[in-house]
Amino acid sequence: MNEPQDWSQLRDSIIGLGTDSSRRTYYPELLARVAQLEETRESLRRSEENLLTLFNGLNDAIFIHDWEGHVLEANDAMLAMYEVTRETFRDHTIQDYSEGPLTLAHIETMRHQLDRDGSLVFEWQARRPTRPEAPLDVEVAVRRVCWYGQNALVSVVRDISGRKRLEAMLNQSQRLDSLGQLAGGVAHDTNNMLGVIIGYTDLLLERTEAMPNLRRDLEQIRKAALHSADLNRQLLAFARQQAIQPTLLNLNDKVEDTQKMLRRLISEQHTLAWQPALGLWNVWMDPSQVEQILTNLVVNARDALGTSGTITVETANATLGADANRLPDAEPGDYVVLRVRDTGRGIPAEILPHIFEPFFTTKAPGQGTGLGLATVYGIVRQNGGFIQVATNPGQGTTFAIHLPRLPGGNPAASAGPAPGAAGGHESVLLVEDEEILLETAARILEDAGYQVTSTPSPLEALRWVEEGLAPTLLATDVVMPGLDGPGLWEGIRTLRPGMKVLFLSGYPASNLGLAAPRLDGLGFLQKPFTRNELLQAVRDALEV
Amino acid sequence: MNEAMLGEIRKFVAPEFIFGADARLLAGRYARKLGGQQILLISDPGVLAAGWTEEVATGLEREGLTVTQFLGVPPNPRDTEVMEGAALFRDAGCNLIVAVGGGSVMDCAKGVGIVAANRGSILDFEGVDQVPAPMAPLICIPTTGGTSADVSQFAIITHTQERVKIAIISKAVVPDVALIDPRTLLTMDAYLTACTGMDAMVHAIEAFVSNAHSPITDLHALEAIRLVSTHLRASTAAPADLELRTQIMLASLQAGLAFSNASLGSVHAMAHSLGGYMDLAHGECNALLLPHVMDFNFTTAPERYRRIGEALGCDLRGLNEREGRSRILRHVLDLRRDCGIDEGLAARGVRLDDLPRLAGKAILDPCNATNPRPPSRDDLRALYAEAM
Repeated sequence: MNEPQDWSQLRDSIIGLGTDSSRRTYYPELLARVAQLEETRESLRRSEENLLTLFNGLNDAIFIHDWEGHVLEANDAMLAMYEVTRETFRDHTIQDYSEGPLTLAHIETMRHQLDRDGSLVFEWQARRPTRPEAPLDVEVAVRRVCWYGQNALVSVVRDISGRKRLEAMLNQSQRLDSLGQLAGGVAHDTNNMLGVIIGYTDLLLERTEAMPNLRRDLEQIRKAALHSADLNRQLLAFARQQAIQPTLLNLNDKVEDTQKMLRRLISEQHTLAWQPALGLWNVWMDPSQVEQILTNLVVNARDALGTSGTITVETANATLGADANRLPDAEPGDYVVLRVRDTGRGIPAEILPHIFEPFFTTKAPGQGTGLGLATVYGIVRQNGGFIQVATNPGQGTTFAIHLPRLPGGNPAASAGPAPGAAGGHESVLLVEDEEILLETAARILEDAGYQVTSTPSPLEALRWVEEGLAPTLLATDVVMPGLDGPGLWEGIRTLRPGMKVLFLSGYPASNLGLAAPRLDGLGFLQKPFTRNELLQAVRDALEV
Repeated sequence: MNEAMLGEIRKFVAPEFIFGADARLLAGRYARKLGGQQILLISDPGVLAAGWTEEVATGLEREGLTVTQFLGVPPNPRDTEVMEGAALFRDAGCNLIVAVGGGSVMDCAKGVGIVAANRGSILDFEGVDQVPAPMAPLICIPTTGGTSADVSQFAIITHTQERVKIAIISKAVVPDVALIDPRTLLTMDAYLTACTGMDAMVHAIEAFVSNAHSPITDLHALEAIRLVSTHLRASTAAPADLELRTQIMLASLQAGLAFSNASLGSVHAMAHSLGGYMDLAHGECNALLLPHVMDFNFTTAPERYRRIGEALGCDLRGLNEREGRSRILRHVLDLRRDCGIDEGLAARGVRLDDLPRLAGKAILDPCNATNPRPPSRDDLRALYAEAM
């Protein structure tokens, strides 16, 4: 622009005749601002409405209170948790809502932590003013807030009594697991020794037919050893390391079968009621374990009853949804429930957390091993189930055993009982790192006519086979240093394809990573074993 | 011309003004009535030294108002000072402006108000009707007799980078209240009295010959010419005479009312360019350029210049147009010289090769729009040359 072109239009504007030349006032702008204010106020109102919905929609109780403990505001969850009303909640102070005393020192600590961290979280016990006898475990999160110009605190209170209960249950579950590992380990080692004792005793018994006095003593040794082996088996059951032969099973049938035996356990003053459910689902389980469970629970129920009362055994189907996780060890799914209920004295609360621990007993010395419930616990866990205990002092106890339903059709039935023991003349390569047990087994087999080559070293055994040794059967321990039983078997089988095998172990097959198909057609013998059991197992393995 | 003018609808804009000795003392009352709470008080070091600023501040505070002072306004206020003042206005949460000072202070205050209300740079509002949002209430207390920024719709700000003054012309910059107190003129020295008095004279003459003059503006213009012509010499000689100061202050007000509504002419267009370039006092520039522009315009409006001559007190009886023109110009030159404004642009540092630039800027000034004879750039350059 060099020279303004239209001087006359500019002139009109200057003297106030232009379209934009009128003086403006604040008025329209003020109106616009008022409208904007109204809009802001409306939006604030809506926002407050939403926040109030959130405030009252939360499950946690929220208190707004001052440093003296006067409650200024609370949400609906607070009213519900503390069992007060909108009209009465201000009648109580924070002190009234607390189970323990809120000391000045405590408040000072809180103030210090709030200054330092901005917030603080702690566990506390809450008190309902109308029901002070039943305090609640809570978690409290505190922050500072400026409540309508007043220095105040906002305390968010969460009811954690459910969580506390679950934590206690989890603790118990973990404690039982560790005990199980310990017990299993001890039982396993003891088993080998018992195997030696039983084996040599059997050998001596063979040779002392003409010496009845000596024989009686030997029988006592054998009886004691077998008793120990039995205890060991219970420990292994608790440790979920019992060797089992699961099969398709209907609990109704099994309970029916045991009725007679169970009645013998209880006295005439006691009633045993049996209430089978119709259409009960099947389970996949070793029948002898069901017997163990029933025996232990019924004996305990009997002892709880005192002189008279009723024990009820019942079965039921049950389906657990997602809330199954609220129960210890439980997972959602279909379960067959075996309930044993008594009308006895109930279990005191302080004892309840320990009832499944091995050697925990309330019975007089000599009246119980303290392994009964531990065994039940181990069996149920080994089968993927869980136990619910409901007890009320003076009103009896119910143990509800939940066992997973066997889905689908009927799997192959397990083999029948083994025929009587017999010897043979085949050659057996025996491998067992526990030398004393190796010697025992070798002696039993040799006495029965077998040609035994034995070694504690799996590597040496493999070398012998490589050098030409060709036994009919490999009988080997499973867990050994250097090369384990299955590894040795793999090595030998490639050299001698027709060879048979028998595994000997203190652990059940499932604990050794031997999947069922891999074991199909292979022999397996649980330690400790008697002479007959060993001879039977060897025979069976050779006959396959 | 008169008849066409009579057929044209016209507007006359003026703020509420209080004229008279001690009118300045009403600042607090007016600020409160206009809803002020946080006041931005704008002034300059000279006025502060004279004591007027503190007196007004005290008056405001006595009314319970909070005062933030912005005292850094130099002669010929620049865009940078305006922006600084606007930032202060916003930071201090002000809602009303009080300006105590001459044209520089009041123009700066208008600039601050514009930017505070509209954001952006003050340079965005150059031209006519370019201020969209009305600004916060503005109270002006003039301390010089001539500027008339206290009643006008003009604000003149120096564009620092371009070294030129820009004109902002808008009804939005007419102050809300002018407190016109002749007593404030008592602290002016003789030369400042002369420059500002001549400024009022130029306002009146340009408004009278403006192609946008009107019967109402004519009345004020002629009365202003008569008052300046009659009293300026005496007032420069006797600065302490309140009676004379009152006459000059009244002249300034009348001239202001006239030019704010009839606008100005090429003297102002050229003075804005010159003042922005050389940082010379506005009244001084006007006084130096006035006779040459009058001479340039004379033949376009001889009748109106004759009436100016009469108002100046020239005896034009029996003189033809050429003789009359000569006498009127002589009268103006004598008045200027008698008041102490002597010599020309060259003596004030302007060089011949500055003239194309000065003319180039001056031709863009909106004041040319109402000059009775539309000038070309070359005309303006020739006029600068004559004023050397």
